[in-house]
Amino acid sequence: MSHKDKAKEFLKDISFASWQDEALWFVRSKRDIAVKEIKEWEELRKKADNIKAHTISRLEYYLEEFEENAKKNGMVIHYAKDALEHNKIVFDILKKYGVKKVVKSKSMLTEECRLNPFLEHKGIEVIDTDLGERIIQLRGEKPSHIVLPAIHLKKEQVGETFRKFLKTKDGNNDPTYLTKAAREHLREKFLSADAAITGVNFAISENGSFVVCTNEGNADMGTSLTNLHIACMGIEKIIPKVSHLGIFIRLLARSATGQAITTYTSHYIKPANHTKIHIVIVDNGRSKMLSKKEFVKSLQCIRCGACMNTCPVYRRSGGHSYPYVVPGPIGSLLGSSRDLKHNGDTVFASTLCGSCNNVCPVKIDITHQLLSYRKEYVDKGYLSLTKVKILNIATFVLSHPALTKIVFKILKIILPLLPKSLNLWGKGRELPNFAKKSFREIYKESQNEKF
Amino acid sequence: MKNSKNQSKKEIFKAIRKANLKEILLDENNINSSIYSEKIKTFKEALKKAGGKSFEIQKEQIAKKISKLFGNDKKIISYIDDIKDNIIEKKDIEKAYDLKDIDVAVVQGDMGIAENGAVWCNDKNIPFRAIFFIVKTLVVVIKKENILNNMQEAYENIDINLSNFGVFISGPSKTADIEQSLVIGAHGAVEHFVFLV
Repeated sequence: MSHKDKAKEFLKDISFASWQDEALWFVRSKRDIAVKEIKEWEELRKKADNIKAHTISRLEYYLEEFEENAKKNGMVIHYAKDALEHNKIVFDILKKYGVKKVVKSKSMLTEECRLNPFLEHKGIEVIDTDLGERIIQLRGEKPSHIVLPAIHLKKEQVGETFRKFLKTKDGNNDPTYLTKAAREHLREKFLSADAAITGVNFAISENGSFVVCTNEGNADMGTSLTNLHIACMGIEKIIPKVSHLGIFIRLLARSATGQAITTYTSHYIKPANHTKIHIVIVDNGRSKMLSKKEFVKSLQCIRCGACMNTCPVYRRSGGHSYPYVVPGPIGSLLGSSRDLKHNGDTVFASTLCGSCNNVCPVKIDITHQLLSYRKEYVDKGYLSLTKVKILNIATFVLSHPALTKIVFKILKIILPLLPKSLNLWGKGRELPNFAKKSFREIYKESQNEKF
Repeated sequence: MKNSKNQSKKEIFKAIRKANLKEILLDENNINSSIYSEKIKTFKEALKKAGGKSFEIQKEQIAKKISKLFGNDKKIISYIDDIKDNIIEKKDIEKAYDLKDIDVAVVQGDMGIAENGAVWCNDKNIPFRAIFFIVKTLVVVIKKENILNNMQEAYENIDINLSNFGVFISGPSKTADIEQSLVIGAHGAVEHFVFLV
């Protein structure tokens, strides 16, 4: 199903769709307030953009430096070319230490690699510990947002799921009650798990440490109660210096949820006594993106989700209407970089209004890239035949000025009279009233007046 | 496995090299970050917003304040000299798991950050880093003079390589994963106090 068709499904329940739109806009509004508290915000964005662009332009150097320093700190480094190798490496580590049960905190990379089903298939119990992720794991769903994975659910649906799996009381859908139940349920898992898997927000090459940010403390509970910590990161997560964290930590939470900082910003420098830290550094298509100059900037993404919260299309179509694991504007880019044929229709799921560019903390030129992907999508012949025909007609008409003039005159009369069902643009939107005079006519008149 | 490991690294690096990106220079100029005329007040406000509570007290009064806040029947563990552990004996804690029934932990923080109410704690004098997360109530004691303006100042002042683990904590653990309703007490502490001495 295309994004358009899935969005249509989503919009059938219009009251739910409106609720989702408002919930996301609420987060966006909180972001605005948090951003305005920092007068140097734009300078921070510029700085972050520069640090990321610089690091990506010297990725080999910084990866080597990170590896060398992390090893000095007693961490073990692995490299994985693709998702399968990543999953195999994680499994081999778990097997080596005899792990049966593993607690996992949020990591979009492990979603991208589909680590959970891989490990489960091998007989390892994987428990997602972020509340939103746990909810969707129990329901067998995918995250619909990278920061708010269960934003597509109402509390009644969560209540129903918890009743089934956590034996909560019938009819009690109070978020506080449900969260407490999840706390008890997951505490038992933390205390009985053999290992913890986390993502990585920032890896610092100058001292071989890395940072994980959460609000719930789930990554921290997992890593501090088990003796084995596996951290999975994409090759683009590196930043050169500890002092650069001062920029990114200030940008991340304000952009993501409108908080000044996440509750926990944990710095893993050396493994604690008798514990092990393994880091899996994953490529999985990222190095390929480096060679496409106009798209390389999307590797700067710090996964804050601000572009989703602000996107008028994402807010009104829901995360599940996007085919790639990361939805929304940035997800349309990342998905297209992997498989333009399969994911590319989402580059049209944008009004190109540019709001995503403006909220992006690392200044990714999202709409420019969306536009470039549109060109590539059409050039490769992925566009539907109907649209190709329409565009061919339009091209013909617009390249003949005299014809254009006549066609526009006719359209001006006919279009308002057409029944809505015959007008592709009229679906779900009202056509604005046509101006009485065309630009051409007004221009002509003004010229006459002047001379 | 060792060989294939190096092989993947080689292939990834080869692909990176192939992209042949032109180096973008790192801008070394510093940003003039916001500073606050009343750092303590700003810190307290930011902490309150994040769901935490703060008290300005004399060092000598910490013990009294703790017993006033938590009574005598709570299991308290302290990594601050002036406060005695209550019920729990540190020598009985052999592994992180043994911390699971502790109600209150009192720890030293190195600094507080005015712009976001966070405190920096590390595991230098703490045998199990789980202590910061597993207890119901976390009390962090910091010196008033160690409140800094913003995160950039923070990272300039942290000697990050002195400890194995360090964490900025701002308020109790929280989540809004159910319908965006804020709930305090997700997996970490349910209550978070900062004592400013």
